[in-house]
Amino acid sequence: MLFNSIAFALFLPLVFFIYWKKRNQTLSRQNLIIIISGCIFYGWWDIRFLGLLVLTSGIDFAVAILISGSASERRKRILLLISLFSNLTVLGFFKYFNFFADSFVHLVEHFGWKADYATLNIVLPVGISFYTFQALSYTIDVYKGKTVAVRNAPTYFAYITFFPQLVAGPIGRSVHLIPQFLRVRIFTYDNSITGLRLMLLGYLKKCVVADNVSTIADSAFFNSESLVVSSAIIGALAFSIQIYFDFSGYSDIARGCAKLFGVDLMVNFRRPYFAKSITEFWQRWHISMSQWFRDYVYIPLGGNQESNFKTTRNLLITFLVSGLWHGASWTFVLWGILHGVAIFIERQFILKIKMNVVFSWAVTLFIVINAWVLFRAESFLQLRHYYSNFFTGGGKIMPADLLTGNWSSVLFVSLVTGICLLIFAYEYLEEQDKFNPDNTPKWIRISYYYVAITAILLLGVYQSPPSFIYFQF
Amino acid sequence: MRKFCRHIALFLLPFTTVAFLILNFEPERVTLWNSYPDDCDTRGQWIAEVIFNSTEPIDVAFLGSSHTINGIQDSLAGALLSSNENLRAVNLGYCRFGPEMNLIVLRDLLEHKKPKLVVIELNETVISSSHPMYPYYASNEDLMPGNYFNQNVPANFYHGFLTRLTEIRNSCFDIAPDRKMSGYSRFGYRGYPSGNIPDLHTRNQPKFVSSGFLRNAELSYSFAWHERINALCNAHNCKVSYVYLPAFHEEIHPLEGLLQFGKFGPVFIPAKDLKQRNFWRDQDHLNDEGSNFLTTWLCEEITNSKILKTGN
Repeated sequence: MLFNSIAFALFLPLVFFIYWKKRNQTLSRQNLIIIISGCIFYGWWDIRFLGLLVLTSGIDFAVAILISGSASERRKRILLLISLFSNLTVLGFFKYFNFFADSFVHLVEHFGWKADYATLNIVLPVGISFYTFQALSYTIDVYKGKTVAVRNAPTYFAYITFFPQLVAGPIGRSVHLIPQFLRVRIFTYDNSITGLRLMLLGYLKKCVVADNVSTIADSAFFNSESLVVSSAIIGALAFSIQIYFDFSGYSDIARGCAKLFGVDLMVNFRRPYFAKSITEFWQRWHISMSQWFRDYVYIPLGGNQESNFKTTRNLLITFLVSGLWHGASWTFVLWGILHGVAIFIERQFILKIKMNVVFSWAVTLFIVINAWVLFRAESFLQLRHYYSNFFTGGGKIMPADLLTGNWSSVLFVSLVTGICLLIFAYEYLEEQDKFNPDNTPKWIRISYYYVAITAILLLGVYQSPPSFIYFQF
Repeated sequence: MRKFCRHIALFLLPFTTVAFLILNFEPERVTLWNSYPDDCDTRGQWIAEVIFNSTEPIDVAFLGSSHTINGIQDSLAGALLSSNENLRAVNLGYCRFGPEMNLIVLRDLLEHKKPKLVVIELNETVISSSHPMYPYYASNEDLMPGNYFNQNVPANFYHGFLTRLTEIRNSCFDIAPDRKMSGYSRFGYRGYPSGNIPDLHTRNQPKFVSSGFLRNAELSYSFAWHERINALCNAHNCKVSYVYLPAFHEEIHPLEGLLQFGKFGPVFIPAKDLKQRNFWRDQDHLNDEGSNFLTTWLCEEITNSKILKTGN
């Protein structure tokens, strides 16, 4: 069930009403409703994958209990390995089997050998990377003693199947989330209004900006062979805007939706395009994932506590894995490595020099936008075409050729661009601590709500709207 | 909680009113038919052209799915049916199944032309859900569930609402309609080589034909729509007849339930000769030779039935 679908528009109020209907709330009832609604939400895509979700998270539930009850360090380690093996096997099979099989065959054929192989028609279960990581973080935290194993199955499964964050995060950490499922949630008017406001901002980002801008980005990458320089730049800019508004919009909707059920999810984006270095960018972009990789990959590898060589190695491995996490394609791997290399150079040389703030911001943004081309490209061939046009041009597709459909109307373009700039301005003021929506007069807030909903209705994409980009991961 | 729900309901009241008004907005029919030319190889534009733009009359119209599109040669049919007077026959088939699609094409046809006869396709696959393009082309009146409710009614309302909203937006912003919006732009029956047609003795039974209670429910759904179609035709002095167009692998004898359509008009069932392999372009669609055979046979049947000559 997509957040921008009619099914979800009916599903959410229904679950909300059932959830809060009873005056005397009990923990088991609330958690049970969360589990059932999560299963419906997830099963809406493909009910078969629900079994997979229950199986892997069930193993983690049992393993965590066994770890906490075990005195032997060796036994604990074996149990942790069972959890890691089961989760990573499922993830590896569904997400990476064909990728590695294809890559192996290409490699073998490169040396002149012939390889017979059969790739399977594997359908990627939606959100598998997200819920696998969430479940893994739980068992690892139990192993490390950072959190206590939950013995109550409904509480644990509520943590896993909580639908606002089930398929595209934020990747909830057990330390933060499980305590919230261990106590009865109380309905508060202000919390619910804050939740709705967050959802509204999310829908504004997704339906008005991301979905409309996606047509420009799609058109540019589809015609990557024949772009002029300015078209290539516009395409890259469009995708940079699309992915940010799409994913941060999704996270806002998820956080807002969670608030409606009395649950706080972690902030996933902190104005990443205002970052003045790549290191800072990763402290602001997809924070739940960055922190996951920091805590469960980078630090266990040794982090920055060892020699310069080992720190660099750890950094590159972490970003390589992070790239691969996004998708089974070498372009994602390259995207991850590029960021890793940029951070390495930054740490070694650039951060030691005092630089103009605007210049640092511009350079960071330039690197990030260039890296998004790697992220968006569907193959190395498309990437090569795009980059060659990015720097040398040579094609025929002019910027005006990318602006078709809704973008042919000047009024429409002005309104969408205006909304996009307003959101950036709002974020800038928030960054400077100069604006807090709760402190604005009520009439301004209500006017904003009406304007935002009208904008979504008038400017949104409805007929076959694009899905959320991160759902595919 | 109550206060919250009350406030939300009050807040949404203006939007509910606007949504109601939008649902009452009736887009121009010709605009709707022209809006999705990528779907079904521009059949929507063809329907707009022959019904709304052309001044030529339509005397006999063929309605149905891609079986009809591929199976009926309308110019040949016109020539064969013309005896004392010149008759113009037009193929108004639209890809995929769903009886409601026939109704909305027919409604526009009857409002703008005066056909003497409509020939409606019957086949084994009776769909109990809506035609996927139905909400995009339906008028406000047709969006109403009518006398039979199906699983797609809520989605139809939603898509009908979005179609109207999009029309309003396009006129507000002076945007040319997006030609690829419907999401139903790809259908691949032309792609199958004839070699894919299975031998008759190895054919499978149709996958989607249900049985028992479900089959009766599906038939009664289809029947209810055809009752509306028949009533509409009667009101415009137009005769109705049916032609059974099975796919290559389906039995030539229609299931008994389909014969109940004989209540509204003659049901023409093609001879087994139609099962010659060289008549078929793929498992579901006739090629030129096959459509020539079918059209000639059908026109003979129509002439023999004297349906075009009898009074009302």
